[in-house]
Amino acid sequence: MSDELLMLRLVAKDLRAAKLLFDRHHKSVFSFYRYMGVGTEDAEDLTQEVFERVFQSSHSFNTSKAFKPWLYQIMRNRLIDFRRKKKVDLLDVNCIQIKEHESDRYNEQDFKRLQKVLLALPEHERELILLVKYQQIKYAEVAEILGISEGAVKARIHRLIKKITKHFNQILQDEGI
Amino acid sequence: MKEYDEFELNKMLEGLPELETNIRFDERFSETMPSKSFYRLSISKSRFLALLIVGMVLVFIMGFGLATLIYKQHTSPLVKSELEFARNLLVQNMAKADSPNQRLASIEYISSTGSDRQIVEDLLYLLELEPNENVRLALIQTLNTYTHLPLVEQRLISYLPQEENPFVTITIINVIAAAKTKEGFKILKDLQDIDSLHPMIKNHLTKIEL
Repeated sequence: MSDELLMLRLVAKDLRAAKLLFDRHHKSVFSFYRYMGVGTEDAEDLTQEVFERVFQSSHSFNTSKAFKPWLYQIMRNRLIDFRRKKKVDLLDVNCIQIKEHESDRYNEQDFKRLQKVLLALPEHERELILLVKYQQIKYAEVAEILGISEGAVKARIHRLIKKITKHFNQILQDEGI
Repeated sequence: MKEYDEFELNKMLEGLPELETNIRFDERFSETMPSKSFYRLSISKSRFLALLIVGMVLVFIMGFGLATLIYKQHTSPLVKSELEFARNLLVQNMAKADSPNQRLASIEYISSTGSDRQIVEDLLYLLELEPNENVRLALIQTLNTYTHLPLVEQRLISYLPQEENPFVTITIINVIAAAKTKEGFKILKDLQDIDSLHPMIKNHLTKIEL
């Protein structure tokens, strides 16, 4: 069942729909905050707040639109509020450990290097790359969220990938690999 | 020296793993879900117009109900045609409603008034026009309760090729398969032979005993 249909059921106070939505998305919301540089406990609090807000605002969701960009707007607003109250320290990259079953896709060292590169990016760039590549929100929807054109999103992503590749290889070089 | 290219970094970014967390769904979350009274009390000014339209529709529906009562007592051809006209007008207005939630609500109303045939005709008419996949799913699920009318299967078969969403297509296939008619099975078998068919639909068809 699609997220949008679950949202319709949520309006009718269907608790199972709420649980399904939570189960589907809570890890990705939590991970997004962690990759954005928020500490574990704060990321967990923010994730809880996001879902409380999703359930509170379910009646304002437009079912003819996609759920993910709407969810992301809530995530973003929570993060902005959080930053107003508390200065976010950059993560110690050792804090995020790769899971064992991910190790076939990822080399642990590469994962740490990639996080180092991500955390070195300015916040708006890190947000953009996580939106498109990690959250996999469509270019057009990202453009709508950020209030820029779709072409501009594509161009920025292209430049960012180049930049990330360059930094990543620089780290490799510094490590003498 | 080892060096990664943009393609590899792109893949790594797309494959960033979901991190483990101990957060669990809390039943208390449901307490944050607004109660029905919340919806009544918290209607914002920007929604006032929508509320007004809904109110007008309700008045129209009540008038329609009253007219139906009169219709049952007096079978004058003039009253009958007036009522049919009013019902058609109502269906047309519902089809034009901007909010999918309103259109969903209209399905319930339509299926509670008129003869079965009239209901099916109206639901099929709305199905053809409906842009939202969730509303189309609800329409098909409602139509599923009228499969005793052969018209439902016939019209769903002709509608099938124009449906673009695989989930909706699968729901239609289920309705056709449940009817267990020769014609329906033949159409589904033909569908299975189409090479360009969405893999999910193809996979679903293999699970149905045709």
